[in-house]
Amino acid sequence: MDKILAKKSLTQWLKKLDGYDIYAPFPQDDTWNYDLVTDPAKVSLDYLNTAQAPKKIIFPQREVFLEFARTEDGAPQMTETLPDPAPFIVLGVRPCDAKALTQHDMVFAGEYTDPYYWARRDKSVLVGLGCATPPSPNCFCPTVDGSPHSKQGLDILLTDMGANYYVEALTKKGEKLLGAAKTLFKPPTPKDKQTKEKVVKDAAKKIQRQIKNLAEVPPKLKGMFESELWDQEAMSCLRCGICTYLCPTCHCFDISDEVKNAGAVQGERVRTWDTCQFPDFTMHSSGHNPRSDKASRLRQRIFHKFQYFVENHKTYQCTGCGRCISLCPVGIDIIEVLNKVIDHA
Amino acid sequence: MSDNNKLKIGIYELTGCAGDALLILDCEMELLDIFNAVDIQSFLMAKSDNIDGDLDVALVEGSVSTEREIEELKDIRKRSSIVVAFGLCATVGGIQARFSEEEWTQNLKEVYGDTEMTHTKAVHSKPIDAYINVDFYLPGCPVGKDQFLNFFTRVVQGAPPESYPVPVCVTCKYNENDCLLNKGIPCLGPLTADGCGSVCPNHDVPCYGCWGPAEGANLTSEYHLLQEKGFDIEAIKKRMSNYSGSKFQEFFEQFKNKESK
Repeated sequence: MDKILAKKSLTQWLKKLDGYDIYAPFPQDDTWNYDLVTDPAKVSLDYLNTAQAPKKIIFPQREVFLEFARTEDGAPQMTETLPDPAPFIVLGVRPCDAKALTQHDMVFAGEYTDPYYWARRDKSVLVGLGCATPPSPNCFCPTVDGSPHSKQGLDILLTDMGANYYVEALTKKGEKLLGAAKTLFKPPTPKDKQTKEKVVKDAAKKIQRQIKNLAEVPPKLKGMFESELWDQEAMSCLRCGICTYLCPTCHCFDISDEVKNAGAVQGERVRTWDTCQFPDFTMHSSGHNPRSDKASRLRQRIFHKFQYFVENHKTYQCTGCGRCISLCPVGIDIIEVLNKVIDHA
Repeated sequence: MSDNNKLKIGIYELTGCAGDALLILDCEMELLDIFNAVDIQSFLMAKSDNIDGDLDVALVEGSVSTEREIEELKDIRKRSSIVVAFGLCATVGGIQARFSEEEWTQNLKEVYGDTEMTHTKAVHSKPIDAYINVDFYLPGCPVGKDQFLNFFTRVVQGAPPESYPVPVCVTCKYNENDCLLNKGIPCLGPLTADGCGSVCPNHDVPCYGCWGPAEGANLTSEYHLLQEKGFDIEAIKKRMSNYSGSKFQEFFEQFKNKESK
């Protein structure tokens, strides 16, 4: 279902969306980040991209699985804490970040279905915003099978046409949102469609960076496990974890029991984000660590995204948002690394 | 008052500001729990009837800076099953350990001149593991309340304490701060052990490294990065060695050798 929404009507539309929590990007210091909307009039989609991908709304950094306590007779007592959120809308999701969520879906519904993840995911409606101009000089979505106006994973896609948004409802969930404020949405004229096609086409041309020939990477990596390239590329890694924490597709986590009371035992079992870039990620209880150096950890990041994930799920575990490149304090550049893999003898 | 099935604990202070011991008393909401869960045999700051007997766990705060402290420390080790380096000074030697042996000798002479020390003899300040085996390290200046309570609970329950082999950046990312290094501010987060809750970067103040060096910190990379941002070697050295005790000295020695060559 295609419609046209005047930009100045955005607030009115949001006000009609009763029964939903709405998350939108808000300026925070020098960046933008997602936050809950309290006043729809303050929502602006005039932003590049958020520092944190919207994955944190569906897969939070820290979430409590269960609460436990030791009762007086010594038996443990456990209470499950499954989330039960109201239906919510994430507004202004960039196509790369939406595609990343489809990859989370593969991971959290594989061999086991993760009830905590799906409790939120099932309630989500993703309203995407295509990238008329690249949000970052390091964007490279076309080379990882994406595009600045990709619809993958979205319920609605908005295309910026200056004074209006070209609105495409892609799922039933999306159509329902348009139905809530029918009078605001006009049918597109043939000229609108042409303009939209032009915006989409032009946007793809504006992407500055690319990986030479990514298809070569997965088979090539197989023979590069012991390559010296990993040592060279990881030399300057500070082990801060920015690359994986801000990655919209990274999904690794740790589960630990947090006990805070010394006397009567009580606490919480929590899941927190974890990353392959930390040495304790693979630390065995024996003290042995199969990935004890920086090189093996960088290698894991590349192999997971461009080899293992491709084998398991038939897609690259990277959507080309460019965050890991722009924000790495020492300038480790995944595009350069992959191009070096391709050039590797 | 000795209750036989409770762990016997001793809390000791060597050279330091006593901030770590004070932190225990600052756990006001949990204090009754702490004192009820264990048998505190010695805690000079909190009680007067202190017994120097055998202990299950000794928390030792402060660096070793006199001969008397060396003896005291060795005695604590002999009496205790588990010794914990409690706080930055015990872990890496603290600010007082940032000098080389040579510089220290010079400083001592400058401050005390030829005054004869009768009480005990001063020695170059060192972390406690320079003299004894240490079972666990709990860094921080002072140690973090959460880290301490987590550690304490695990020990009381007979579980091994968690280690924190990650830098401040981890919590800083959790808190969604903008990376200060990317803004050209000389932040020591990547070199510094986690545990403070990234309290400084949360307020746009660069990390000063008061939790001491993180395991496996990439000094070379941080050094080059700060150099790129326009800081000279002296400024970097000053900043990096403030709270790292003796641990980063070796790193800076290599520059000295290069310069003299």
